[in-house]
Amino acid sequence: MKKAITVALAGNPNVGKTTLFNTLTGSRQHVGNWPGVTVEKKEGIREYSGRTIEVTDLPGTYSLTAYSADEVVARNFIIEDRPDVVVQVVDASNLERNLYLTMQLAELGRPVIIALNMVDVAEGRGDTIDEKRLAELLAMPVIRTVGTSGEGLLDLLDAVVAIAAKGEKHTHTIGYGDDAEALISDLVGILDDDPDLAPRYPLRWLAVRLIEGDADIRRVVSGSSVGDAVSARLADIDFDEYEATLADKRYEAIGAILPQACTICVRKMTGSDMIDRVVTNKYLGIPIFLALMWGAFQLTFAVAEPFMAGIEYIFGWLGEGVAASVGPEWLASLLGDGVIGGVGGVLVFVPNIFILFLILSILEGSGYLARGAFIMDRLMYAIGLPGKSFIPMLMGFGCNVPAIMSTRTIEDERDRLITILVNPFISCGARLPVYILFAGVFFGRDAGNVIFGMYILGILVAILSAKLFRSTVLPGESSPFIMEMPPYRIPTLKNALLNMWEKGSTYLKKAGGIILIGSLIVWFLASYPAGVGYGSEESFAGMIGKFVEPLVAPLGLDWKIAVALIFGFVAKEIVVSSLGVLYGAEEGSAALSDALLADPALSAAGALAVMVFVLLYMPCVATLAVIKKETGSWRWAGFSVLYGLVVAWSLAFVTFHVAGFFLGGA
Amino acid sequence: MSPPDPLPIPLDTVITGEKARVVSVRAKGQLRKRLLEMGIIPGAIIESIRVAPLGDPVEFRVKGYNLSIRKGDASCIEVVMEVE
Amino acid sequence: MSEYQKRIFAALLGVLYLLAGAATIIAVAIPEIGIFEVLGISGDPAGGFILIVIGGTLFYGYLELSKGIHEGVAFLHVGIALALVFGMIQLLSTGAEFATMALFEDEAITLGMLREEIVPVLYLALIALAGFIAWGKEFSAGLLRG
Repeated sequence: MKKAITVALAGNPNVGKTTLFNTLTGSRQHVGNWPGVTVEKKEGIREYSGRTIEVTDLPGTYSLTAYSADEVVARNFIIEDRPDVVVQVVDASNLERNLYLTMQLAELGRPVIIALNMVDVAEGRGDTIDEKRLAELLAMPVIRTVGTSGEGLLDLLDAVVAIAAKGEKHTHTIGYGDDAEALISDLVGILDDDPDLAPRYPLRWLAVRLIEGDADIRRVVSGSSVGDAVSARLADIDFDEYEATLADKRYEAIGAILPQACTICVRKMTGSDMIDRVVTNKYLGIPIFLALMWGAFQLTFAVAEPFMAGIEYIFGWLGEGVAASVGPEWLASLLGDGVIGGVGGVLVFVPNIFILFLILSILEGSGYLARGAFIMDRLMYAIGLPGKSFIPMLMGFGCNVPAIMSTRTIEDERDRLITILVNPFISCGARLPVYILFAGVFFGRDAGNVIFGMYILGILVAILSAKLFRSTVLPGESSPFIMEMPPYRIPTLKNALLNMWEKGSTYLKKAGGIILIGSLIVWFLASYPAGVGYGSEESFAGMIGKFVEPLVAPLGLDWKIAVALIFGFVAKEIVVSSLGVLYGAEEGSAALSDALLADPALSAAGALAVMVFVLLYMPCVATLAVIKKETGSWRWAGFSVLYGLVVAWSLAFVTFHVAGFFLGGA
Repeated sequence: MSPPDPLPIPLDTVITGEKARVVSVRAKGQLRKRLLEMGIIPGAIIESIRVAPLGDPVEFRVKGYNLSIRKGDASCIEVVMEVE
Repeated sequence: MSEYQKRIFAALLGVLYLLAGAATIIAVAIPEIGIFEVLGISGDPAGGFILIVIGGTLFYGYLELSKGIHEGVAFLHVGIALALVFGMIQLLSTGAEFATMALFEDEAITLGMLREEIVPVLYLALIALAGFIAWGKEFSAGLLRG
């Protein structure tokens, strides 16, 4: 058996790379993260003419200047993993900008093949492309492909196998003009003196990156034996100037090639422009966006309902079965309250997550998501976030878990982190039962206004926190908003479903374990030491409740509420059922309301403080798991818990005393 | 040589529907890199095609595709009006 | 000729949606208007907003076409698309609700309950569907041209 051929799939965002990857590898793919970063890594395998071809889907990038995690990943993969072939998927209807990446890929020294995608779109609007001539001019194979139908796929595979068999390097690069070229050859000469560099990097590429002021590469070279010599040569160089010159030369080279190989039809008004006139219309743009977001929200949560009910039904049935048939009481409780309750808590969100990702991938695939960001950017910029943060914020009102997962569409890592960290303050659906209980009991006719106030408070805290994070822990301007507005396309169901399955199942795998462990810890605290009633005063949870009572006393709360809040960590709606247990009342019955009203420790001001605390105090375990997964570290998850607790305590304290002043009872 | 260029103006002042030619990109760092690689290089023809409903950002057409840029960022790009 | 038909269609359907939307919002304040029940209108601010957005888009198309702006036809197409999308969302939500009731809550679905689900966003979408059948091809062809 011959060695497998490794292929890296590169390309700009929105060129149909994912579609091509899916048709290329079928179902034989798996998703992981690149080591150390949260960028997704997709790999798939294809058997072709007796060879195994391993395809790695690189993140979509416009260039390889490596200022975002995506670009660093793409560049490092090509340089360090040395794939046998790099296939660049190119959008034929947007050749000029797409070929910029080609110019950079060519410098990396690996053989490059162009998969010319969307030729149907380009030719449909009157462009003509002579791919043979293009291949000659670029000195690399150019294969026509149609990702959706699989056309050209076999030609592409033939080209991959052929080029891998030859095993040549790609040596054809463009010239950057006399001045830059003199500098480049000087640098190559210096770099060549270090025997370690040449085997690891194409030297010409290193030199080019150095004069473009690439900080990463500068660090690599500074650490080598020729670091000082390089620094000396680069001492009085205007990097900005060279950067512009090199970019200019690349586009110049493209400009010289294109007219020889294709004619581009100049368009006045395209179909996309027609749609954009409507959806970004001065008066209708925002209402249409809000309407569509409401629709997405409605679909996510309404359509998931029967599936969620089904999952709850199955787990309820399992729980009863365990309670009835498992011998030792502690084991029945462990399985029933701990494992089944915990796993059920994860799975119940799964329909939401799957449907949300289906909708998001349809919105993104159609090109509308970019318009949404365009429309909302001004508003979000005011609170220091990019336009794309709007969707996660909105989704947060349903459930923070899919909301945080939807931040994947935000390119800038810091913007994304801030959006993730403030999301738990958006009041999710699970908190509503708590408000309904307390507001209903203590505020009667004003309950609706009080609940509405909670939602507003959540939004305010999210906005202020975003501003705070922007100016302290994650400083810097919100990233420049330079976004391609892709033409509209009709998304394919197959891709949307694949995308949904991929993201949904990753959530299950990654978050499931954490949630299970969290649930088990809470179960343990509520059940031990041996022989105590579940969640009673004598249990560890009760002891913790008693222990922290002095902490919540300034908020007008006693140990019972403290215990309920601890349970609420598993899922916030559990606060209500826990109170039922603690007050010895059936959930949902009038008895709990009466018991709360009769409790001398609780006042109307205290009830407000509870609601504020539940709104803000910390993400539930499922949200925490997803924060950990999406930020790639426990640090941010821990930060989110601490920050939440501090904010919740402070605001609950203020609420209790201010409300106490007006309502009495403080 | 062509006659001397008129005085350059910042890109964000170009009216919707008008075309201009990029003279210089005065941005620094990340913004500069991003603009250059997206094809906003001296000499490029850029057309303002649409303003977002809230007045910012602005959508431009450059190198045959559409790109949206915030006015604040666009003000770093100096252009001269292109007469058709 | 065809553009004249489109103009009339946009105006009529736009006005119907706008009226239905206004009624849905009015019904929040004054629920006991007799004709509302017949038309399946009940107070719902968000639902009313959706209807008004669809109606507004269609009517805007009518205004542009009347001014002789040919591109106004895009408002008609997007309006029809929105009408269909929200009709579909309504259908799916209702289906999900009934499925939950029938499968897990042991509630029988009565004819009266079905009757209650015949709401403007659903039956007006049928008219939009007629428009889509008439002009949909031209719309998606325009889309694919880029």
